[in-house]
Amino acid sequence: MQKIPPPVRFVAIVAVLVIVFGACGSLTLGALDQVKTGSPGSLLDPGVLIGNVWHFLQETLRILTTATTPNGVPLRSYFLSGLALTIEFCAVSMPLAIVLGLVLALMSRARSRWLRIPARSYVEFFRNTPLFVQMLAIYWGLLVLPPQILNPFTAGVATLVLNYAAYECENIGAGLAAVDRGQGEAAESLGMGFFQSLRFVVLPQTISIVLPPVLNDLIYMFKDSSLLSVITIIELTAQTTGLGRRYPVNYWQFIFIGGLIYLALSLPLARFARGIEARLRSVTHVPRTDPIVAAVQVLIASTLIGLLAGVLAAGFSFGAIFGAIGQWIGAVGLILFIMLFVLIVLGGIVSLPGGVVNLLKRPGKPDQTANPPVAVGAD
Amino acid sequence: MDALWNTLVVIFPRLVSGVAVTIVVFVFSAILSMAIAIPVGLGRTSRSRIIRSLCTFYVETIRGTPLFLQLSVWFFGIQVVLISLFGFNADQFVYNLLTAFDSNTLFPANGVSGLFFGIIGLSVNYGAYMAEVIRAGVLSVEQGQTEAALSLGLSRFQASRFIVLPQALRIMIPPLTNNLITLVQDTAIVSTVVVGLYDLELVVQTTVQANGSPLVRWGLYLVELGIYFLMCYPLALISRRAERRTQRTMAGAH
Repeated sequence: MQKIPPPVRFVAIVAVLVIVFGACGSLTLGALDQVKTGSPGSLLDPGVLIGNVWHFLQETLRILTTATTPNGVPLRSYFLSGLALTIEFCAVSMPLAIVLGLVLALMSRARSRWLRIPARSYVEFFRNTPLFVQMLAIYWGLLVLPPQILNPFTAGVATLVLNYAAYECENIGAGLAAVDRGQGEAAESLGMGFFQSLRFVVLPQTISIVLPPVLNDLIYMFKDSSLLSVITIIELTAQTTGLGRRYPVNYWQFIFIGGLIYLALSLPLARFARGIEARLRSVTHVPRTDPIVAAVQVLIASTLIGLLAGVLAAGFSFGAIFGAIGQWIGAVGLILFIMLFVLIVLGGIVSLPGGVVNLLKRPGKPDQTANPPVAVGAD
Repeated sequence: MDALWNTLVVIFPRLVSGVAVTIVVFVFSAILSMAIAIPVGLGRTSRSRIIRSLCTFYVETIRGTPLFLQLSVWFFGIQVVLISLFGFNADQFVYNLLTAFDSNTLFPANGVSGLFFGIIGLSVNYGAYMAEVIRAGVLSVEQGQTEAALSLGLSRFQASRFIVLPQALRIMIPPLTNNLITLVQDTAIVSTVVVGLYDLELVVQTTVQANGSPLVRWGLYLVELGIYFLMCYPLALISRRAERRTQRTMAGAH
């Protein structure tokens, strides 16, 4: 091995890679083409194989450039509107999930058990039940609510936010735990209030720890939004499989285009997350972000992205924009409603027996010793 | 309340069989995905560039696309391809397999291909995620240990089997358990995509669609969420415990 000079070796490796991937890929494409067109000939015959692959790629190009449905709607606009819906859901849901996750994380680190136990039970419940079933339960279970509050859009956003808030709570909680407890105490002894110490001391150091897993969760949400198709939201996955079902001859072309759109967005995002992680972990990085400024920036950016995606999905008109904003407000209302409900009910179920036992044990005395104060108090 | 109770009594046998199907799907895909993940995860750390890039291609493609789309492709796309190219009928295959093991009672005579492709789809998906866990675990063991093992005369296979993997395993257990939790949750998706797999989710969903009363619906969904919680929460506890133990041993080692 040592005797081969590096350039030759490099060329040889690239050649082998091209041959391996090219052979596997063209066999796959050729086979898929043959299944759909029913053309005769053996796939092991190079002429037939190359013809099949060429036909497959031609069809893909045709769908991407000129193909329309019988009604004259270009097929590519289906993919675009599906992608726009997917992006709108992520842009609306992720900031809300982060905010609620922060609230939950602060609650679960508070001194009072009446804050801690509901937050912990909320997180455990939402992390240990399927997102999919939560979505169905919120949509089909709450159908008694008026359609301004509960429609497929608000139900989808609500599920994504409520579920991901639990995961963001874990991420942010890990970030808060990583900041030394003494820092919060020092800030308080300097006369800062709870929110001031959070804003100027604790959170700026947390951001660098929290950002990479949050970005990872954004990728997960991008993929999980495909579940929305079961509550009749026609996003990218639903468009892809639906097109495949309506035009079975081009099934595999649609699947390839849809899959490539997902890859084209999630792979760069994953690389970006990895790059940010490396940069934030480096020694030279000094945390000095003001979390409120960052939050406002993120909020403005995601609102703009959401609006743009909404316009792309529904077509431009002021009515559509106001409709979209109304939907978002309805979604926030639904989220707060369900969240308070779950916090109160679950927290009550989990904490009441313990609380009653405690009251019986020491009448008139709140339980302080059992819960030593933690880093960030909420008093 | 009465209506809910009556519905629960009526569908109780189907609920039990639904839970059984969910557990069957979970167990088989957990085993299969580990069988995929170990070679792929080790292949991602291999010295050969060809093996590495093949494994990377698989992992990145699977992790970059949604499970929902993949399951749909397995059931509606690849099933047809397998039948028309190789004459492989999954329905017939699984039916023969189940008959051989004399366990046909859980599944209908036709429509078992949903079970087959559901398990395959979940395994291929989770194989990629678990391969990443295994790769991270292997990379977290110091390079010097492999070199020391090699200089002691162990072969590369022996070094990874006796030196690297036992240490990596301890680091891998919490994230692998977390993956198992999401695997339990994702079994709920399968029955929506494939046809004829009556797992817990589909049993509840069909009952809900047939029932008009909001209270009954809510109750059924809560029961379903509760059952899933009972399946996932023990795994979460195991994961947390293993994590704490790993942290303690890591802290003790230094």
